[in-house]
Amino acid sequence: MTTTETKPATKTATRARPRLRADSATWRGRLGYAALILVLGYLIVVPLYKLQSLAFSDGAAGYEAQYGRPDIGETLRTTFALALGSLVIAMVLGTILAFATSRLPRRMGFLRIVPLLPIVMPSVANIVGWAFLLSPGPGYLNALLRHLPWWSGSDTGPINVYSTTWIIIITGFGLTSFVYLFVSAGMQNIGSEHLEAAEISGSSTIGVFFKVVLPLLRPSLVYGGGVALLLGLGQFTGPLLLGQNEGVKVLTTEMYRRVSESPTNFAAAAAAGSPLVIFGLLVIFAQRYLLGNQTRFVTHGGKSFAPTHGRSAWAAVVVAVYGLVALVLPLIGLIIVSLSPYWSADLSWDLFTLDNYRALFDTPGIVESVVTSVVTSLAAVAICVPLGLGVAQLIVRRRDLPILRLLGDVITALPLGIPAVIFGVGFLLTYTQGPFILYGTKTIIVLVYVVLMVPFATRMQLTALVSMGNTYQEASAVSGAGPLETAFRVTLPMLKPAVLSSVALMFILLTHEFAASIMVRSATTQVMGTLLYDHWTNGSYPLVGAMAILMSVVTGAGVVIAMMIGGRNVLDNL
Amino acid sequence: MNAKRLSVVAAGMLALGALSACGGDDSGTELAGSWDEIVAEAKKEGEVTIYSTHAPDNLEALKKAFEKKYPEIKLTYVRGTDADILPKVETEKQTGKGTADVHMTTDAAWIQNATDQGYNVEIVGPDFDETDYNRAESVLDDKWFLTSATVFGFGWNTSKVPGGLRTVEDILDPEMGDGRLGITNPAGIPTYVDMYRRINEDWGGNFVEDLAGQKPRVYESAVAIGQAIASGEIWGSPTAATTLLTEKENGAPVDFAVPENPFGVPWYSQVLESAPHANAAQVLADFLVTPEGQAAISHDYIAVLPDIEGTGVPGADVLAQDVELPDPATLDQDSVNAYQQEWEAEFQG
Repeated sequence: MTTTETKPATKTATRARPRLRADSATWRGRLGYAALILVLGYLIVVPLYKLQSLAFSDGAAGYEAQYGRPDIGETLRTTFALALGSLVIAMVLGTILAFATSRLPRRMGFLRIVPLLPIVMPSVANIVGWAFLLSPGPGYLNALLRHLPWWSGSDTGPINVYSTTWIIIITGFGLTSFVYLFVSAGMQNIGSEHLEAAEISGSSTIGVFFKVVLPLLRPSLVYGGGVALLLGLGQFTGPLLLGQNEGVKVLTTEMYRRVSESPTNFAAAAAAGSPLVIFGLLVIFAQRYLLGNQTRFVTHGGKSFAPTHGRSAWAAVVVAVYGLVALVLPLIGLIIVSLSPYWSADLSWDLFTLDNYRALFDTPGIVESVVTSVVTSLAAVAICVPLGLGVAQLIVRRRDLPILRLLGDVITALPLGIPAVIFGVGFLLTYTQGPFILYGTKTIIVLVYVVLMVPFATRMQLTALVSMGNTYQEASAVSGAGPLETAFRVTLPMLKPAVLSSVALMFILLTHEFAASIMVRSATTQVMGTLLYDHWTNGSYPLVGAMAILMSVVTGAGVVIAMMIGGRNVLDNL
Repeated sequence: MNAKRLSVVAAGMLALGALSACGGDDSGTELAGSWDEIVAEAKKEGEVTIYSTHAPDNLEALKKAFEKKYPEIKLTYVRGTDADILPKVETEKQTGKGTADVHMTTDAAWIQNATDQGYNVEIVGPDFDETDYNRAESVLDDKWFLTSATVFGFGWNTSKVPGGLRTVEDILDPEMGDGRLGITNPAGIPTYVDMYRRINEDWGGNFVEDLAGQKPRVYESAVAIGQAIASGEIWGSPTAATTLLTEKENGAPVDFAVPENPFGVPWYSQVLESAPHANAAQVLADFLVTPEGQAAISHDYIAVLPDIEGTGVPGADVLAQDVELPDPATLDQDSVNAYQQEWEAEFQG
């Protein structure tokens, strides 16, 4: 921070400096930030702009093609049913889980990580796992349920994982972790004095929950709900993998169909995505308006109490059951299929085989896809961290550049509000034409990953910078350290936990990225998720099971490495 | 602060650098003169890629056979439906960044248009002129060459349907209703549109509507249907591929029969203009119509050469040359889209 923009007391010093030097330094800074915003703008805004201008070209032929389809009403209805249905499930489960984890007995504290683990499990793996359990014919769980007297005698069902209802339920389960993240963060800010006071006054646990906790959580519920609604609207993996069977369509899968038919119709795909873009923009601007000045949220300060643990055994049961259903069950489905020669409800020990794991190495492309996933994810993370830090610095420290700040703030928020599928289609459109033809390269994957992760890189470092306040840097300056020394000895070490958790989060999210990857991949440049999808549509279920396990292992290894570098609490900082 | 600014600039440069570093990396090779020179150049190129809608097992066999004959050339295959592959071929032509060298499809309308639009180059291999291959019957415009053919037939899981499926009546038996049959989605695949139209005519004039009444499950490809029959997810299918015979050889509880008036379709292949390996592409194209190539790619399918062991389908004693390509005039974009929407309303509405 240069002296020009701080306290009046230093103004005399500024005036004493040669004007030219101060000006050139200021301009260098402005140009640097302007270049940063330009790069981000090109990456994030141009693909969206190109899509829309294409959709409106030729007398809005794209809109006519997409919204003139006879099934468009059904598609829209399913899209909103999926968003709202999964939102309700995720809000209820996420809030209960957050409350439960705050009441865990001390020796059960390790269970706090359970609600976050579904984020670590790749969504394609999770969904495929559920299909193996709940497919009406050979689904293992269905086969077990058919042993119950009231369902016996049938050879299909009782649950149909390919139906809209079950796609909604499974999506809701997946979104629960995200709601949990926001709500549990809000929960931690509730002083335990409030809870203890309520309990001492004779309130039951349920009473405390409804009369004290829920009202205090309103802001995080609204925020987490907004995010979950956006995620629900943009859901792609579940409807694509499970919806084919019964023709369940949502707007995102329609986008995929329009660009993967011959001839490709980008205009119609863009038109299909428009409601999602508009809704995302609305949410982003509403959030800007509601949150306003970020510095109001400085939280570093003395704490007069340490959070106490609860003593509730029910809390441990709730969290454990959730972990069992959301994580262990689909994993079991995957493991059984991956050890079988073919997927069938009739299991027998003699058939168990490790052939599918050997096939991981023999089948062309699988090993390459793992390498591509890891390399592109690491490259994107390496680009994202400095980009995010730059934008965070701009937003927090450069009040003198209001327009650039606003642009940086809004542009980096866009990928959070707008579904990844749309960026995937936009990138495919943008980079199969000049000036930069990147189709078929790893670069296009890296770039779209950068765009998807910039919001996380920016927000997490921004939060850390905001909550640091200016006092540490000022104290360092007063003690005689120069700006460089302050940056290296004070700012960066203090940001280290935030940077490390953002690196861990981004790596996890990217290694199982699917929605954007499937658009920008080419036939021979594939990541793990897209190749798994190809084998899924080919019906090679046992190999798919083994691939899903491999994918989970790769992501899991990323988490373990992140924990080794960043300490065991890396995931807590998400 | 300066360090941060530096890092900001560095990040910007990185992103820009990444963007600009990706001009054309491989602009493709030139075709050599004589066949011997082409083979020698192909070995120098060292790799070749084929996009195909054929069965994965057959493509894997092709890879093994080709690499046995040309150990210097690594074959990569990409298997998908026409809906997966055609947009990729189109994008590669548009961007000039080719990945595929040889492309194999059953889409009649696409085959007709591709030559006019300059997708392909002339084939030059010597084996296209072998008498058995019957060039006059098998090659279109010196560019598309007949490679294999398939018939769709009745497939079933032998533990679920011990009696098997032999006639149209067996398919429409109420026992097979309620999700026990599997069919392919014609979305983006004109060959399947043609198939539904043809079997509707050939199997009683109202077959598609009756089939919809059975509430069958819908799959992306005939390969996926084969797997679903093997797993017991479905009991059978009126439009199974002969890959089921390969599954049967592997021990899966499945069987396959060719019905009366079966629907068949030939595969044609082209050497792409955007091929990054111009010589290896020609070598692979030629290999596909040799006896070794046919034994691999047409295993349990219909071959383009007579007397190739392991090829052919019981009950359909024909060569690929006998299987007609659908009339492209009936498969224009609008009529395919219209049929697709009609089909969805019927089967998924």
